[in-house]
Formats: sequence, structure tokens, C-alpha cells
Amino acid sequence: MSILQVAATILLVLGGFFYFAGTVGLLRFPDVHSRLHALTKADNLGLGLVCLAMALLGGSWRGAAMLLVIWLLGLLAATVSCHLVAQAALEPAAAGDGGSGGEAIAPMGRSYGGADAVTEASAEEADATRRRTGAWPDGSIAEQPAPRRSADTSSGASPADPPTPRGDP
Amino acid sequence: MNTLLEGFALFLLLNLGAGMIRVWRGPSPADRMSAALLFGSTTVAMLLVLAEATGQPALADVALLFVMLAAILSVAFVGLARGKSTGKRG
Repeated sequence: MSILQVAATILLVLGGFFYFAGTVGLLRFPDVHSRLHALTKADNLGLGLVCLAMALLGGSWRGAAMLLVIWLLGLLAATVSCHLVAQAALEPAAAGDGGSGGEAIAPMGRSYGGADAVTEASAEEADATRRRTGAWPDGSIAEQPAPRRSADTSSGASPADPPTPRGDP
Repeated sequence: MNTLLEGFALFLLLNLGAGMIRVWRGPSPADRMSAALLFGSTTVAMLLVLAEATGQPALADVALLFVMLAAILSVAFVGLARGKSTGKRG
């Protein structure tokens, strides 16, 4: 095993760690924006490390340049995608509350209004989310209860999601 | 070395499988889309590793193509969400 291979192995293991961190973040984090945050950062660092390891193993400058292009394109794609998906996650609340859809960020203080479907448990959850994160726009919070409930009735109580709504059939 | 590379590709494949849990559970379309972002970057890395393990440089070209298409995917998602969000809510 040459020294290049040792270095590539170390880089691969590091890259695998970051990929694993990204996946765990996607599964465990409480809302869309933190999931996106974990995913795009960690995975692209992992991709960079894997590209570096492959460049060391490949041993040609042409292959290394191509891996560099792949990594840079991956960074660009992740940045654009993260921004677009995060904005799309904010928007439906603004449109659903009767706005014209032009405003991406709804004013604060509406997260409990317009919520005939919000049960006590999910209001608690929204409260906890607000306390933890400070000033979220209400889109992600007012959005949560209904879809989460429907997901829970189909898949049962999930151990990976810490705040499960209580009192549901 | 080949064993290590193949094992690493398998590990990435398991990551993809774990990402399917998020696709399944949702709850919002943006969550499912972020799982698709995970698939994009993990697939690229897997293809690069497999290109090295199997000695087929063409797989690296496939990875280049995937990474180019990754951004288009989310642009399409945003357009779709805008078209849909007026009808279903309320």
C-alpha cells in the first residue's frame, strides 16, 4: 500500500463520515430548513473529500481536473437547490393565508391564527419550535401539523421524530 | 484497495436507502425534495468511487452529467410547487 493509497483511504473515510452526518441530519432534524442546512453543507464537503481521494487514486491530471469540475458544479447545484427549496418551503403559508403569493416571508404572530386544525399537542410543538429557533417566519410552523398527522396515521409513531403529536388515533 | 472502494460504494448506497425514509415520511414536499438533493450528491460520489473501483472512466462522465442535472431538478420542483399551491390548500 503506497502512501497515496493511505492518504486516499483516510480521505475516503472522512468523506464517508460527512456523508453519514448529512444523512443523519436529514433524518433527525426537526424542520425543513435545518434539514436542508445539514444536507447541503455536509454532503458537499463529503463530495469534495471523495473527489480528492479519487484524484489521488486516479493519478492523472486530466482526471483530477474533471473531478475538480464535478465538485465545483456540485457546490453550485447544491447552493442553488438549497436556496430554491428553502424559499419554496416558506412560500405556501404566505399564499395559503390569502396573500397573493408575492411575499415570501409572512409577518410574525400568525402562527396560532387560522389554525382550526391545530390540536393542543401540535400547538405545544409549534411553541417549542419557536422558543428554540427564535424568530421563524410562521410558514414552516403553521404548515407542520396537518401533513405530519397524516404521515403519522400511515406510518405509525416514529421513534426518529422526537415531538410526536399526542392524542391521535 | 478495490475492496475498500466497493465497501465505500455500498456504504453510500445504504445512505441512499436511509434517505428513502425521509421521502416516505415527508411531511412536506420540501422535505421530500431535500431527500432528492441527498440522492443527487450521494449518487455522484458513488459513481466516482465505482469508476475507480471498476476501472471504467466513463462512469465519471456519468457523474458529471448527474451533477449538471441536479440543479435543474430543484428549479423544476419550485415551478411545480408554485403551480400546485393554489389548488390544494384551504
